[in-house]
Amino acid sequence: MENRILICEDDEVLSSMIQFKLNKDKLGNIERVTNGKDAREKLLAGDFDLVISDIHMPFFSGMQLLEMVRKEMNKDTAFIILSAEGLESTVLEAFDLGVTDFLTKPFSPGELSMRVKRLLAA
Amino acid sequence: MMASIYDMIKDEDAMIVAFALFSILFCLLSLALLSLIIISKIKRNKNESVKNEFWPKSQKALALITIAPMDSMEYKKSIFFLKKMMEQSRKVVQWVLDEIVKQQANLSGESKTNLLQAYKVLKLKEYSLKKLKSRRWNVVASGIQELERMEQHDCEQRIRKFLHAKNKDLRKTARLALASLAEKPLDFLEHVREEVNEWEQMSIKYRLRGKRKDNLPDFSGYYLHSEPSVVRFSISMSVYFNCFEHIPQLIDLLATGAEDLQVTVIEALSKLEAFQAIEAIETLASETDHQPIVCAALKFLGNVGCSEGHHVIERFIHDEDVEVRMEAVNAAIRLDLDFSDENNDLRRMYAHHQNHLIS
Amino acid sequence: MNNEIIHSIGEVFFIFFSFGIVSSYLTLVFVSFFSVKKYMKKDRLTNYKDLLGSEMAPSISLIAPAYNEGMTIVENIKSMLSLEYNNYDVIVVNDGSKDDTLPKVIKAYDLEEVPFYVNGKVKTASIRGIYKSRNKAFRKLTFIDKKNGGKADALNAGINVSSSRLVTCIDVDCIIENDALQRMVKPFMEDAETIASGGVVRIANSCVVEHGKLVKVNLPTNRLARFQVLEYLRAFLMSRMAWAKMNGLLLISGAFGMFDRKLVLRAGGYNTDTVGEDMELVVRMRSLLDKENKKYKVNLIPDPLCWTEGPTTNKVLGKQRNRWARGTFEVLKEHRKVFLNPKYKVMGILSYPFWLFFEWLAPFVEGFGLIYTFSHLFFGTISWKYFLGFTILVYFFSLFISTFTLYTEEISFHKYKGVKSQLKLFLAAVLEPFIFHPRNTWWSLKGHWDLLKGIKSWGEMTREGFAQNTKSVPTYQPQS
Repeated sequence: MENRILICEDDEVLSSMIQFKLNKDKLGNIERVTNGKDAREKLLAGDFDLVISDIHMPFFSGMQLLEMVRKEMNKDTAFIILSAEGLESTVLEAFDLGVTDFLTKPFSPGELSMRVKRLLAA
Repeated sequence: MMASIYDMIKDEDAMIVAFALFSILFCLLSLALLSLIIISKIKRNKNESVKNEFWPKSQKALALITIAPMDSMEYKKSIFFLKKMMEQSRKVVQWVLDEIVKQQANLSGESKTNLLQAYKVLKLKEYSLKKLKSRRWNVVASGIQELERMEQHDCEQRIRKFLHAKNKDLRKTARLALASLAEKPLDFLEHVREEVNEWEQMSIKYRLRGKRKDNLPDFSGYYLHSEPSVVRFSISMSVYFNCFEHIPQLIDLLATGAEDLQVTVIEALSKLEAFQAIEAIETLASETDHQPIVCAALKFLGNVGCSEGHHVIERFIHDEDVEVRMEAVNAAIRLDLDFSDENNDLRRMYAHHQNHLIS
Repeated sequence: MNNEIIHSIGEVFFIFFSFGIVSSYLTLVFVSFFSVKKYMKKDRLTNYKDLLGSEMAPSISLIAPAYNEGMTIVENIKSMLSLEYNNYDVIVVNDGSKDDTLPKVIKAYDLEEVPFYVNGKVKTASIRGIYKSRNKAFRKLTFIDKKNGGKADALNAGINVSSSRLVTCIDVDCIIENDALQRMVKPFMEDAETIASGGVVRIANSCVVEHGKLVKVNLPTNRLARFQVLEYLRAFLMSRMAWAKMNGLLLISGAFGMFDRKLVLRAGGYNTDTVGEDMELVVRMRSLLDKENKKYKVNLIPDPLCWTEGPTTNKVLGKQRNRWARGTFEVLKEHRKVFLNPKYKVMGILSYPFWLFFEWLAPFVEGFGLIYTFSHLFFGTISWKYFLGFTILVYFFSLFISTFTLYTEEISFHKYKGVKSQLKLFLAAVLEPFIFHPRNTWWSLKGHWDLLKGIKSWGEMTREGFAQNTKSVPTYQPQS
């Protein structure tokens, strides 16, 4: 069965770029949303194998989304945060909330793809 | 004068003519502004529709440029497509440029190289350089910013020129650009003769993340700079790059500086955990009546942590000033001292701090 | 003879007053126009992302008083917790609500009472408990439960509890833009002398709001609300922007303002005895520093950062305006020593006289002027032509100011899309002097009448919500 991946990122060029990259590496079926609200609805409607999310988005931040997935929906979906804000406190908070992996921008799409591959294989 | 004004008011006919003239003037001005508003709206709408048409396709092209290898067909096709699009108008050129600049900040590795290459191939670098020749400061500044974000190190000299520009914001932009581009990122500090405000300090510091210490100047050399904000900035940079070798100079500053500066210095020493400074700071704290100094000193004692500071903390734990008391309690907790059973107020403070230190 | 002298004095005063008002308004709009333009230029060059990733970002406490907000409080807190800024906390003050605000929040955010030492020393109604969440995702939230003491009192309690460098006081039901904090904090970082910074408040009626965030800006369909759009734009963009530029700003809206916390504490916090507490605080902070002969700056950011629901019925709007009039009077009376006192610099020489003559006195002059003119017309001492000429001039002048405001908005933030909305706003500007303005004047006069009778209330605290519910008081805003 193909893996379902959700990309939450308000920068559309960036998110389509990630989509291209993951598609190219044949990592699964990829859906994109541009804000926290749509992401929440998608996550409520169906199961995903992986979420890749920015922190700063309209409606809900990536952190809030992560919190919802873990607490409200009680799911252990793999969750990668991809953020320009790499402050120590932010990273620690994310891991506290149960993030699977944390990448800071600038990031290399190749590296992201490798990490995704390993997460999905596990 | 009153009389003549009074006469004028009394001359009804003249007044009515004046009223009429001004009414017409304001009416015409309002209509003119209204048409300007409508023209601007129509222009905006037109721009929007152009963008809507061009955007989805370009988005795809831009994404491909970052992902596809530089010698692949996809990369070349995308470049060709963007080139053609950019021939349409300057607006489109600016859009593409803005997007490339924006994505460049998100990416590293091969994708970034791809974008930097596209910046050159699409002749966007020339476009940015051309902006430097503009007479409008904001255009020049945006050109500088583009070159900075696209990491065009060879433009250092051209940007350096603007350190002495007439416009304050342009000078600031140039300084920031040099902080990220120049081989010696902070050597401009020596020539700064105006305030480097907190926002600018923050931006400069942000640009220095990950830079190696050897290319940076000896910050202690600026401790006696004529511009107080530069002094403060240098101190914070000494802390940021863990320059323990500057501790003696910092201690010297304690003796000479103004009160505000002393606070900054104590905070810096605290972050550098400079136990050598304990004696000097203790003396300062007992002699001064400047509250922020006392607070900073207590924080220092709590942070550097050693038994010598006990009597100072003990003294201030009953100070009249709440903030001083708070800092003293805070320091006491960090040093594992126990004053808690003395009175109610202190006990509550204790409980508060313990609770918040844990969380 | 005697009669004649009185008439001439009256007329000379009238002319001077009109001349003063016209020239000061012209100055204000032009200064504003250019400073908005300059701000836009600078803003395009600013990269706020640097701040988001910096550990130098100053700490901010967002303080929101809540009174009977049970319907929306959970959602509102969520939206406050998701602003884009890396160093802030949220302090919600439950001001003795009679509804289920407290249990609802405790449940939704998994709160527990914690020991807390309140360091600020402003007197407030007693605090019953301070709560923090057990859930780490909400560690930014502090919830204060206190006895009822009014909005100013609740804000004071929040300021006492805060330990941040800056405090931002907001209305809990306002919609705050995501990037509001990073923009508001910039003036404080750019100029160490900044003591307060205000945000521009806009009217949210008919806008689409989801999860406490603004999704789409629409022009209000309600006529009264549409007049308020114009009015707020004029007040914030064209008047206060200029006052900020001249460093003479006296009023930072209670709906959204950022202050230096230590200075607020030193000044004694908000005054609980007036309905104009937000203006009173700024005036008091300014007086304090002027007396100490210290330099300071009060700033305003022209970005639309805060959206609020304006009253849509005459009844509620009337009460709001009534309160504003009383607030203005109370503040001006309290600080009357500032008037033309050179010790108080810009505030004493320019701002206070302007507020006194053109904000506070204007409704009286207008009311009196009308009676006076009509009596003259009746006795035939002035001609209809003269009267008409003057009225038409005043009308077109006000139309010009409004259109200029719309133009400034269009070249800067252009929040209202489409030509049609611009035409509708222009139509509002055309009609305003006939429909909206007389009511405003009347309400303001009525407010003073109430003051004479000794009425102190905030008026009935209901308004149309974004969803279906009733909400608390609209905030204090200026008339200009």
